[in-house]
Amino acid sequence: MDRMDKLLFLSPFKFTRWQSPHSASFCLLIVFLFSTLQAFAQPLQLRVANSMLANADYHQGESDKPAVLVLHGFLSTHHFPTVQHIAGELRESGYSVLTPSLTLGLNNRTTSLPCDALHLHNMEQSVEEIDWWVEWLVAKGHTRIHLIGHSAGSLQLLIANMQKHNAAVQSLTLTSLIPLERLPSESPKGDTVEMALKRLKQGDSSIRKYDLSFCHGNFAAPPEVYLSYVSWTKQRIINGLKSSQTPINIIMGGNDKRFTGNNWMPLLLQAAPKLDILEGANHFYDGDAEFALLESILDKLETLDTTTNRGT
Amino acid sequence: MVSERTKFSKRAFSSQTYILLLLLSIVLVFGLIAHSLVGRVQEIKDVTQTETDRAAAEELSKSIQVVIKSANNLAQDLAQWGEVNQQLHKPQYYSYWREQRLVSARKYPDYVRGIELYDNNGKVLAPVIGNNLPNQRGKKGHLLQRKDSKLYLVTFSPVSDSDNPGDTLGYVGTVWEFVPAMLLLNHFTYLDSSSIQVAQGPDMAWPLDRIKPLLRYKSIDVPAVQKLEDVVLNSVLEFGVILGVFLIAVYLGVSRLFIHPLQQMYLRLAELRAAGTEDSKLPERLVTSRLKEINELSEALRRYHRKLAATSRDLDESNQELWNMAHLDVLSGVHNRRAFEHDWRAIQEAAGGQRLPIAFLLFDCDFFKAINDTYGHTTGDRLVQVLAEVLHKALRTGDKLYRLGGDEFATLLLNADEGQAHQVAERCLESLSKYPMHDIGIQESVMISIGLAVTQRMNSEELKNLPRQADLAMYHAKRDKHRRISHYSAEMDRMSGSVISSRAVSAAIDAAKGLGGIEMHYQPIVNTQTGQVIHYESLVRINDNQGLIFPGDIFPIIDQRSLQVPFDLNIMRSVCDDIQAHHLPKGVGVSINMSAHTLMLPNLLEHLAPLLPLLEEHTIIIEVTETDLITQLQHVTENLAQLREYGVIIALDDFGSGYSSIRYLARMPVDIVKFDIEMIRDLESDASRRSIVENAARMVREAGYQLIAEGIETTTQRDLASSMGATHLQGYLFGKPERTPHPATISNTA
Repeated sequence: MDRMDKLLFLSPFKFTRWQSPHSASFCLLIVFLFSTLQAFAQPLQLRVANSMLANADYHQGESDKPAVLVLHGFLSTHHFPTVQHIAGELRESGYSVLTPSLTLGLNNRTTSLPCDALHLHNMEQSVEEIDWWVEWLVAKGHTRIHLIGHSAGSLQLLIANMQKHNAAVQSLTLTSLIPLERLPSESPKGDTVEMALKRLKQGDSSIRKYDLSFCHGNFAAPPEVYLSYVSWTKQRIINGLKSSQTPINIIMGGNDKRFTGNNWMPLLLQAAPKLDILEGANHFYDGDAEFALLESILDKLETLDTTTNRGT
Repeated sequence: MVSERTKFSKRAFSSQTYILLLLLSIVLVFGLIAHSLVGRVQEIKDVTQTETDRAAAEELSKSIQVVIKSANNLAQDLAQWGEVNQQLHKPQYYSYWREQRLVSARKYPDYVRGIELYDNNGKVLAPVIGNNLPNQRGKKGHLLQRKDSKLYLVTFSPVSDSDNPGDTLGYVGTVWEFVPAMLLLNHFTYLDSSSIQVAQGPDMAWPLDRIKPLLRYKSIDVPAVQKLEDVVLNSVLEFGVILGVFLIAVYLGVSRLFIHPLQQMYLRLAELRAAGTEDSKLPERLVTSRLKEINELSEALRRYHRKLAATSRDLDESNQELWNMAHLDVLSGVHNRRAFEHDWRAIQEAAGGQRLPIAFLLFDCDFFKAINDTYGHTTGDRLVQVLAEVLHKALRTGDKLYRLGGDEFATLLLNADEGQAHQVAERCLESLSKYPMHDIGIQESVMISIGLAVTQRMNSEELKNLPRQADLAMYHAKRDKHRRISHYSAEMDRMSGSVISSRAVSAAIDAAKGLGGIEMHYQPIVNTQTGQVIHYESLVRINDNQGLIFPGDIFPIIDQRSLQVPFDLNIMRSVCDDIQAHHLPKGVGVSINMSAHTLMLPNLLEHLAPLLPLLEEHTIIIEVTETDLITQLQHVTENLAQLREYGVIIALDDFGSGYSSIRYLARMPVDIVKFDIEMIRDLESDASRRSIVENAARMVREAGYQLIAEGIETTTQRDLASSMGATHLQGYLFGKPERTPHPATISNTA
């Protein structure tokens, strides 16, 4: 269809054009877009805690369905595929879905933060942002909120719920929950925790590079920031899991290499015997594991939702 | 006069020249085309270069804008970068961020030599290290800096405060090394990127709109055009080589197929010309060529030449034959008059006063007409052939014999003096005398008269007179009964009138015209028995009051001018006058000599009418010479018969000086026979001659004729003449011719 044809086609006064084959295709396109628009989230840019400008996507789902906040992993954004897959499935299922991106100290952050970026945002600040988002959901009228995290996001949701539980939060589904300590598969490269502690004591706030999660010796941060993350040791996390009053579902990939060798899985199983291990899934639930993850999440949500409704 | 233009247009050049000119023309045309082509290519090159320069300038301008835009974009991107915002908010770690994170983040290309963050007051967050950015942002915004022969683009882009978008949180400053940035950000098609340089000059800052003059550059050599130039030049060169080879091949081919065969043909034709008509010298083949037409032409030329040679030979033979026919006498086979005139002319032309004696011999057969009439023309022709054969044999080897006509022959003896010429003449006479004339049916001897004239020097004047002199000599030879060979002498000229004085000529002519001067002298003729004067012979003299002119001087003139008739008639009148004047004694006869010309006159009796009355008292005797009578016998006989009827007596004079044929005598209408003086002298010679004369005299007498013996000068001769039967005698013994006739003076006439 050339430009002129397009103009004529779009003109409401050229009724004859409506009769052309092109017009039927356009109508179908409009209908499809309209229908699919319903499944797309709306982008948000809000000034969150600490007056930082944060980005997020929000989808208003069915009114009888709870809201779900899906949080990305370490240094990532809500555009991370695993988050998008989960969010998309939930939207399709009628849930209201919020997928925020933590600012990590950067206004209007829209991209993943590299390890060697200057990390001036500590765990507590991130947790504050999570709390803000939960409050925002509540402010949106959601009374039932489920929190789903992936990787470090799962940890941060756990920490956030541990430090300040919002009554609207019905459950936590923590996928690929791992501590932020150095990956067991990697040898130490950056400065150690001890060094950071020492600097902290000395009042040395200079930027150093540390090992943190997948940041292998290049997590640039002042010592206090580093320590805010690394202080959440495995044990501390386990303790948090055990002490949580909010139902927690843990889904782990049976083939997640990130915690091979650090005894994390046994500890996790000990703390959460009902954790769901998806066989063959890696840390990010790529491939067919995605469907298993989504099914598991939906299943859990539905179960939680039913239980909650019955309870109310 | 042939004009120069005509001369030029007729000038021909060899085929090789034309071929070379043609090939040269082709080369010249090719050269012109090549030159034009190269010129066009250069034009294309120039135009292309101009366009390329223009396009390069345009590219430069665009590339500058690209750099500036890229710088702006980078500055904006950086300004929007969260980490920049972070640093401007929390600058305490700026140095680390600038030196570590900014570097590792690779947010800017290599040609960005530095990035700094400035607070909203324009102060750099940390002192600048190692780049050209200022510590304090100026008010001018973007600028250019030339430093160390490099050009830097410094940009400052404001960073909006995310908390208050309208506020400026700070600035991002970038410094670009302009030329590397331009090279990396742009793709140049027309501009030679390697040529882009910063113009030399002092280190200083420039406004952004002044960037172009700070750059030096060159446009590319358009490879296509260069390639085109190379292709064209190579093509021209290749084509030139090919053309050269082709032209050489064409030249060789044309030379071999056309020029060489033509040249061969030309040379062969020259050989053919040299060969002339000799077949043996004709080459087997004129040319050998691969061209059928050349070969056929060559063969045709050869055949033509062969035919031409044959025709030429035929023509030569015909010409020779014609020449022979024109220069040889058909009857005798010797050279004819035409050949004589040709050779005579050649001799005269070759004359140069050389001391080379030349003898001219003229041969004439005596009484040839009589022989012809007697024996017939066949015998006469045979006689001519015999004469030619005999004379030719008698001549020297190499001498040519010419038949001038009738019975007249001539020869030219080169390098022969008079004696040698005489010997040749003697030889001719002897050869002739030995020839058996009866073999050709002639019973009597045939005699020839030879006139001989010699000149000692090949002088054109003397040569011119030679034939005439020989003719004179022959004339004298004929008249002289004793000598058959007559050598020319000056006297002959005088006698012939050629040297005769004008007096004699005038007198003779006047006499012939009847203007007077004739004086008759009379010589007595006596009776042998009685000694009485029977009659007088009238002999003519001319008296012009200066003296007497004798017949020797008179008759050549008369004969030359064919005045015989009027002269004879005037003589007759003179005699008549003398008779009437009683100059002669009564009763005495008078003989008058008349030429055959007069006797032949159809109305002779009318002319001789004055004589007839005189017959009453005088005996008139008409003397006609034997020669004249014989040569004109037929014509004279009738007139003589008429005269005899009137009583005129006819005497045959000089019997024996010519063709003395007795048979002829019987036919002559004569009454008296006068024996020539030679015959009288023969009476005194050997017995055989005397016998012949005596027998002749007897026959004359027995035939009834009166016989007069002339030339009696002695008594012996008288006696002999008397004994042989002469009835009358005449001679000096009895009296010389005188004006007044007198009686005989011989005392012993009895």
